[in-house]
Amino acid sequence: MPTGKILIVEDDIFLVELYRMVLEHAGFEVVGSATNGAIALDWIDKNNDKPDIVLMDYRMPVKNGLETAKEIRARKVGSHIILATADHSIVDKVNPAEIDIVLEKPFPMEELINVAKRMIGRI
Amino acid sequence: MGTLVKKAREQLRINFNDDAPTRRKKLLNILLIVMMGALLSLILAFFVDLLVHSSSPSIINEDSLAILKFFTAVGVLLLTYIISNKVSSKPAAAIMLASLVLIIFFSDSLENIVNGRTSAVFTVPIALSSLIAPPITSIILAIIITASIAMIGGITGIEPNDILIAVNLLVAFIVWLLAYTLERSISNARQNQQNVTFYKDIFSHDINNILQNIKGTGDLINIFLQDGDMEKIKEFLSAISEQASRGASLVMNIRKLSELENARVIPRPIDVVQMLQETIQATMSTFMRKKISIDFTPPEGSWLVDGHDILRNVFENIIQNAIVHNEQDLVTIEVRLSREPFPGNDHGAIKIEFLDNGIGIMPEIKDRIFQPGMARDRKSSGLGLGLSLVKNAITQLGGIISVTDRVDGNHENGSNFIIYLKEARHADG
Repeated sequence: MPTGKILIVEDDIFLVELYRMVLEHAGFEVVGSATNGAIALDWIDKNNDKPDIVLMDYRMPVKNGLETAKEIRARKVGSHIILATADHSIVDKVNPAEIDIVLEKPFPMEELINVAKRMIGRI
Repeated sequence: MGTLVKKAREQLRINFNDDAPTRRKKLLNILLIVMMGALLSLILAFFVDLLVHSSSPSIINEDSLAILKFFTAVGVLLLTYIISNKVSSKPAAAIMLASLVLIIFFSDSLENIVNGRTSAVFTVPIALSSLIAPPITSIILAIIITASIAMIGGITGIEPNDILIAVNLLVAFIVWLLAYTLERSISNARQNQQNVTFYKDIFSHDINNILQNIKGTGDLINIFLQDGDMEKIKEFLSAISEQASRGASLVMNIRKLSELENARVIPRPIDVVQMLQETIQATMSTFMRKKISIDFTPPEGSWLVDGHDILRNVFENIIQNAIVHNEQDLVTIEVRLSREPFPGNDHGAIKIEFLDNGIGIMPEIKDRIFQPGMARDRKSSGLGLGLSLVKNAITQLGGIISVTDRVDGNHENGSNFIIYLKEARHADG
């Protein structure tokens, strides 16, 4: 059974650590983190070991979550993408072909774990 | 075809959010299209007339000439429309107004132009000018027309009609006043709307983020309670307290920003060295979990500026941004202080620089990061409220703030926030 490799893309460093602790406690492997979309894409380009899941914020400096998701899809990485957003107004703008699921902040961490487990077939 | 219609609709539909130049351009486009439509209708009418009276050669000649004139007019309007949309609406508006004035000048005898009813027709371009150009254009145009009428009157010996000239000038003044008042009202209303959106944005985004952090930490506490790891739980409880403080600080910043928008800050002498030292100390204690090195060597002597307590928030915001928007293992911030002339005048100024090794600011957003509405956009998340507050406060104190790259031409190596504050004239306060 895959442990589930996760890349966290979030500009709030506190939340990055929070996600990391919760996900690692649930048995996932946090393979990297980035504070904006451009850094995340750079990470994906430089690492052969692609993440199973990209957990991404929407509003970030340099490149936002939707733009980054589009570029990840263009790279045919095959990762699932979770968009976690505090900006609920963008939910309608999300393209289901690019984003697998949207979590509206504030959400319970249990929801994140369940969604991630479902994505890698652990549920 | 659908795209063309959509594009045309975008070019013509006047929205509340349009700025003044865009609104003027759209009004000009509407005017040009209406006039082209009217002229084409006239041409059609002439063709119909031509068919009906085809037996009369004299009518054909007159009509042909008229049709030629109308086609020329349509051509000019079309050209103006293209200039308006492909080049700029300013020359297009100038062509439009000049054409109208010239048409009126050549449409009647000189006598009627100078002292007859025709001179009243000039109120049409005068009134239109306030719609398609800045309001003051109506007065400028009225003066040019009046001077031209007076000059023609002087050359030909025809006495200008004083009442009609006065009417033109009065119309110009009224139109200017109305257009100016309307533009100011629209501008204020737009600013208010932007503020509402800005505050709504903060509450919906930033507060939700803080709530996420608190909720997530609470969930973590539940997890670690099951594991019985009390050390971790203590750490998380402290983190919740930090996030609550962050929320309180956000609310305080919103209040200060709102107050700054509605009131004037009265400057008083502030010891900038002392304030910087206190702020650095306070900020370091807030980010205990990050490795931070802030290099500030307090210079000797008196460093008093025309300041205010709000400066503490300014320094706090800049230093916090340098820490938060930073991916280095060790955050380094260098604070420099120097005495320099105030940019653009002889007043003595104190220049404060904050050089960081953070992620930097992309060149295309450097000019916009201090703007409240713009700063919340997708490329500058997390910088917005603080920097709006910073800019507003510095401006109210008569100072200047700007941002450059720490290493010239390479934004990825960090930023340098530069503040100029007027040196306090009366050191004894």
